Amino acid sequence: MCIAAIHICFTAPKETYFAIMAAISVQNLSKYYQVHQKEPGLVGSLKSFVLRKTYDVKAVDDISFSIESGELVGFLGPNGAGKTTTLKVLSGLLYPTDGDVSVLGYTPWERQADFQRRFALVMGQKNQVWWDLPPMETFLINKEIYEVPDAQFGETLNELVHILELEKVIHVQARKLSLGERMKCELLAALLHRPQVLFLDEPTIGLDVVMQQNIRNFVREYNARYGATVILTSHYMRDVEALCDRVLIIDQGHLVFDGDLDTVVRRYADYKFMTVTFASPVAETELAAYGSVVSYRPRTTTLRIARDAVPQVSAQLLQDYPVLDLNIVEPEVDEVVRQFFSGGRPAHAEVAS
Amino acid sequence: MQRYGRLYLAFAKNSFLNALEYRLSFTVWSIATICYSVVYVASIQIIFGHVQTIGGWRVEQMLVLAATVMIVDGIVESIFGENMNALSGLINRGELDFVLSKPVNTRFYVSTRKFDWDPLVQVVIGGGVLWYAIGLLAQPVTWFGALLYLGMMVCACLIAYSLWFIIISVTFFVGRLNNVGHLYYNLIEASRVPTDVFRGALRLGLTFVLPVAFIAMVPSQALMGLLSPTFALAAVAMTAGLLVLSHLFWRLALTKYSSASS
Repeated sequence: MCIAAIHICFTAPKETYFAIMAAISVQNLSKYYQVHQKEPGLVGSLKSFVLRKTYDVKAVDDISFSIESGELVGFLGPNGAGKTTTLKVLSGLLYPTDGDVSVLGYTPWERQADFQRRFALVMGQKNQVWWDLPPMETFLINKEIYEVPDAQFGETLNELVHILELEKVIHVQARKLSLGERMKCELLAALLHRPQVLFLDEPTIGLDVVMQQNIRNFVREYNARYGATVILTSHYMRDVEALCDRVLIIDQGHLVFDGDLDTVVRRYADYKFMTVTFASPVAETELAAYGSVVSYRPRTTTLRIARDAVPQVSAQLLQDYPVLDLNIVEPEVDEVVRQFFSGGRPAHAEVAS
Repeated sequence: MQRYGRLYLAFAKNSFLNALEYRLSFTVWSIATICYSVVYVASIQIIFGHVQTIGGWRVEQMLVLAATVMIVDGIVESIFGENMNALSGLINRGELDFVLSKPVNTRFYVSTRKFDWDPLVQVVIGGGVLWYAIGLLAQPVTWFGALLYLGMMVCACLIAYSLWFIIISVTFFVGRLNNVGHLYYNLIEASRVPTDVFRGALRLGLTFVLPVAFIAMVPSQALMGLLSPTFALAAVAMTAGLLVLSHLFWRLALTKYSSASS
């Protein structure tokens, strides 16, 4: 009796504590779209015009997760997985079909002004910066919309312009800017009110490698400097790899993985790559006995070897051949995730002999 | 309220800068508008070279009507025109996302974001025609008539805007409506004829179902001292009714917004 009582006293406040701590909390979220289907041809079209057959597409199906304040989390998934739909529900753009969502304690789709002043949404594919005017004019409009005080506006603007290296750009007509410059301006426009929560939907799409790197650095810096909670979706694995400790993998509307990137690799790639440099040429057929040959040159060969077999195979190789160098690496996250989505969930390695 | 005043100023300033970027556009638009107005006024003069009255309207009264259409249409197109034309695209391409995620009244934002300076030329020309026509009127215009005219003009602009807004909002339900905005221009065309010319069901329809009568005829009658108090009240009621209706329609439409794929 006594223990049970203590137990109850102890758990109740703890749960409340966690509820307050989570910046974003999603419980059993589902979002179905109704679409109509038509049979091919004229008769099909006429039929569908009169009597429309509709069915539900489950864009997001029973997803639950929680994100702490200040976390930088990546959403991964193929096209149509439900990433953007989830972000849109979190931003209050869409009403969910089912489930509870809380962002900073607000229900997003109620679209309270207090909530909207605390978050920002950046979409790589859509722009909010006025096309025919210099970006500075858009910034001034956003200043009015978000009621940013003059002093704070000036300070934030200077800071962001400096970090993003936009000094020469903000007074040039937006349509004359490069895609990368415009994307930086989009970020700046979205961040002038210093949002505590930031949703980035494919912010680096279409950008070159250097610019992608710039954007990444900036997102990391913003996260660190303002302690903002950031959710990032991207097709580019590098973005997520460079920025996020934690990833949520969504596939066909389901949350299939929630955890750190290293775990994805350890769990779903049960192999490693071993690159061996020999003192004298070794035939490919000989090497095939140790593992599957990924790339072969007489002196330097890369083998794919089952994770468990790595110590044993490397010892064997060192013993059998004159080895100059031996290098063991984890597979690229990129590849693991690609395999993850293409059919067979866990990527199976060939069995090393 | 003050905040929206400041925001509107910022919008107007941006639109002005925008207009300055495209100097030629203003010139071309002005020439087109002048040509159109000359033809329009001349056609009225030609018709009245053959007849004394149409449906009880004399030439100077028709010119007042013509001027009123120009002014109302010019104002509505300046304030709302570009926005209404852009709105259907915002919905179709899912760019409304940005607007919806901001702490600002969505309808205010999508209705007033861009002020178009070009149609103001039409307002100036309309003013000139009005001045000329008033000089020809048999009865001088009274102060009361002028004030009532202004009031009815405000109603006319709000009615035209509400109708345009409702027409465009239909896009929410269907995802895309090609050239749906043209319905507004047809409405303006219809208002160039005094509804009194028609009889029976058509006349009632053009007054109360599609309230074309309130866009130009009612203000013109107000200026000339020919408006019955009943119609003045009907205009106010119609304005209020349409504003409320368009608001409800917009609210309903927003819940249907499915946001385009990204």
